[in-house]
Amino acid sequence: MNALDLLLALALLLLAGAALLARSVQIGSVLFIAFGLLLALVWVRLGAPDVALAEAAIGAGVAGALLLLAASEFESRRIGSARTPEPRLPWPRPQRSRPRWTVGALALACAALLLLAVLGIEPLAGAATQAVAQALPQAEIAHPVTAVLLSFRAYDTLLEIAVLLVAALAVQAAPAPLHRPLPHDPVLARVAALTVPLALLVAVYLLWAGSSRSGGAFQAGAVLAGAVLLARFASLPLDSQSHFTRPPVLALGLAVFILVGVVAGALAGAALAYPAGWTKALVLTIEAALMVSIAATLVALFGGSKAA
Amino acid sequence: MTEGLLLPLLVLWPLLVGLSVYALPERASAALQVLGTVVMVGLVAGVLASPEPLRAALGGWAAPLGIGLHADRLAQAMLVLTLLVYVAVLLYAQAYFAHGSELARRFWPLAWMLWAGLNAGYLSADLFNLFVALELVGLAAVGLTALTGQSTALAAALRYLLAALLASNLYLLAVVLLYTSTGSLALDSVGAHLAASGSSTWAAKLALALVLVAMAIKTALAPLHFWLPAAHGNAVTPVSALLSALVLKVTLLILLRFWLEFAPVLDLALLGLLLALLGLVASVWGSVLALTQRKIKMLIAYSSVAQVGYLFLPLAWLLPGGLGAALALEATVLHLLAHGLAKAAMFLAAGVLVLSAGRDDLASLRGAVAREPLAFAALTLAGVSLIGLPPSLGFAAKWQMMQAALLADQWPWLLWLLGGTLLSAAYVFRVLRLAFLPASEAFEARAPLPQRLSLCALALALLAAFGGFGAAAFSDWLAADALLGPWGGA
Amino acid sequence: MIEAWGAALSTGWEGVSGLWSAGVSVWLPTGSALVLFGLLGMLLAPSILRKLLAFNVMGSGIFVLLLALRPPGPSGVADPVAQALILTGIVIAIAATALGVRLARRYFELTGQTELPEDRDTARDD
Repeated sequence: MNALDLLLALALLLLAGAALLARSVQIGSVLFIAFGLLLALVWVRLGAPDVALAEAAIGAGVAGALLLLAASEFESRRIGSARTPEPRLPWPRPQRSRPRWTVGALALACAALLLLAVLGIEPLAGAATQAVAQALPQAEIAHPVTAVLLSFRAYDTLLEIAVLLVAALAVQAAPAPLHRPLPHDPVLARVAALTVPLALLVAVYLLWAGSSRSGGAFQAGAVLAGAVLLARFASLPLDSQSHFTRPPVLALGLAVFILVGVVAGALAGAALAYPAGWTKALVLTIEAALMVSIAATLVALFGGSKAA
Repeated sequence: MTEGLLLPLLVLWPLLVGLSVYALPERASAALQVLGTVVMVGLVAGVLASPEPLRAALGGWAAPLGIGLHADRLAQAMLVLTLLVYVAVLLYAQAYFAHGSELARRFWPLAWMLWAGLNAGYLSADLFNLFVALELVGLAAVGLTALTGQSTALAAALRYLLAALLASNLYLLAVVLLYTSTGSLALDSVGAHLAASGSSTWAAKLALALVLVAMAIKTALAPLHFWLPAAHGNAVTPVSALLSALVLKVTLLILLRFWLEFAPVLDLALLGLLLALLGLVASVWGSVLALTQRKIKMLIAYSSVAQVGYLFLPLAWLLPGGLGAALALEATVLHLLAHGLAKAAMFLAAGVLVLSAGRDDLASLRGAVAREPLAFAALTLAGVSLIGLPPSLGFAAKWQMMQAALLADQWPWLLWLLGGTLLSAAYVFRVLRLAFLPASEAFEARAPLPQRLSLCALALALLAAFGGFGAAAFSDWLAADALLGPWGGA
Repeated sequence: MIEAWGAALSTGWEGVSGLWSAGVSVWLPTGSALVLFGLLGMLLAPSILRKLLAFNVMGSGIFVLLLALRPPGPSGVADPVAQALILTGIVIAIAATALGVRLARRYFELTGQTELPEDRDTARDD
């Protein structure tokens, strides 16, 4: 077991280093996606399948795609410029003196301190797991991680959805550059016509499964976003007018979450509490609304609709 | 039942208002925001009216399994400050933005979400929840900085974003260290856990250091202030007011909370001295740079860098068993209030003057006394508090600081406080003096600016300039000794 | 520069194998190294996109440390609170990254620059 862990860890570090030091950010982004997928494996290894799903879909998929998209945009516009790219180190020495070595040494010292600090911490296996397990029956949710996300620490989840929405609001000041519509690719269209409905099914399944095993609104939302984006790229008629990313859809998840939290909370005696017996229905409602909003927000954050 | 909802509503209601303004048609926006503000006033009044500081356990789950909210006197003071500044800024922005403009439509939802994030930061008693609240505040602030979408705004927003993200990660690392060493995410139990388990672990020290650095970046304590001038100086006026007056404060509050939690467990004397010295450097550096600025809003932004330095000075005396600790805490809170009110008033007034002259440079201030007397009055009064002249809140804050320094037997700081007053006076007078000079050019006749703009600035400025009268009552109400808990000072 | 990276990596290797024989989880130095890489990237890399990439790597490192210190109990499932924290962290990181990428794209569209003024060098690839 330990040899496998060692191999995974080394591969992880190598990929991270390569992604950061790659000659171009495009290559770096691709390496970063690989890093994220490997990290998902590591999460499984560390006993966190929910996190693995989210890492693969969001951490590697969405983040990598965003960075790759931007890097490709920067690269393609530079092709037309007169500058000839010369091979060089990716982080060259700038003309004016900058304290690179001091910063590097400082960071190394901090990392060493960090290692020292974490080595001094007793790894508590199963500590909070017990507290959660004890409270689980009262929470009326079968899956511990979902219980933490939507019951014990639902307030965190609510604020996190607000953060996602704020990002979507904030990018309104920076409209994405309009791309020329891609030429119609019949192969892509055929593949997408099969994949998109499948992805929609997977999203709904993930949503439903979240109540009793790994899954939930975030992973489902990411898959749904991927389906919509794929449909757009393949020129499928799904959401050609960007109805999906209109304000009411983006706001739906947070609004439902807050309203349920306040109204049900008033009945149950504390905000974001669920009256006894209603938990499963309310949680499913919230998660469904969240799934739609998360998907719409992720699509909106990608930016640039086909209507050019 | 209502008690359990009151605290969460302070966060959930602004979120709901922001959502509604975003998703509903534009013509409903004004009415929604008026309703929203009225309800906010009611909520804050409700919190203040409660005889005991309110607590709430979200979801009905007690910490450490669930997340707790706590409205102690510190949080209450910040809630009131935020309410006052927001009412003024929202009224101001209504008149400032062209009716129905794209800029306004982007501003309202972000402003309300920011308000929710700020309140969340004041009230939260949970380590990780503070992280999420900080992110909400940070991303909203970045969005507001980038509001105009011009390249200068974008550059400032990107710089701010990257600095904020670095700081957030450092804070998150601290949370991980604390959670794994103590098993709990509740802030008020960290100290107890560390004391019980043997406090001088590397993890605890590193965690505190990380939190301090992270909050220093977010509060723009020099030399980590590089992101602030461009962000505050280039932003739209209502945004500058919100950023300088409020966003810088919530991060300092969080630093204070950690400081108070760790102080009984670790020896913070040296660290406090270091931070106070950095604060001293910041107040000099900021004031000097303010003197060299040629644009009004950049000058005010650098003034913020200087004033933030003052916020860190009392940490030298905020030590358990230290004489003057209670006074130091009072001084910090008074300074938070004073700077919040005065800086917001200054930015709002400067905005009026910039609009009336059509330009942002100091030279265009000539003749401002005649053109915009109310705005100029607001600027002057705000300056009074910034310099620290009686009877302003700024003076009350400095007075408490001097007393704390004397009590802690560290009188060299007195010299600095007096010197800093002179430096602040220098750059404030530089601005005010220009306004009395005759205008060197004829300004094209513009449509008269709505009086409301100047009145909003004036209202805040009056509070700042005469707030010192209420300082004694405030310090009774604050009961800093009680806040310090078992290690209250003299 | 490459030599310095090579030296750092080999030191890490020695540390890891030393600790491994002592029975300590390999993920502790891994997480610390990822945090180091991310930190260096955020501080030293000139281009905005690289800084964002480094930010994500640093965040991943922090999460690895969290789970390394909260290993799965007998049930084989890790601490659910830790998992929830990481999920929240991932979503927040994506929100921040997406915002940064969009701002950077618009900035590039307006100015043709991929770096902030203070990080700019002479003609840069990338």
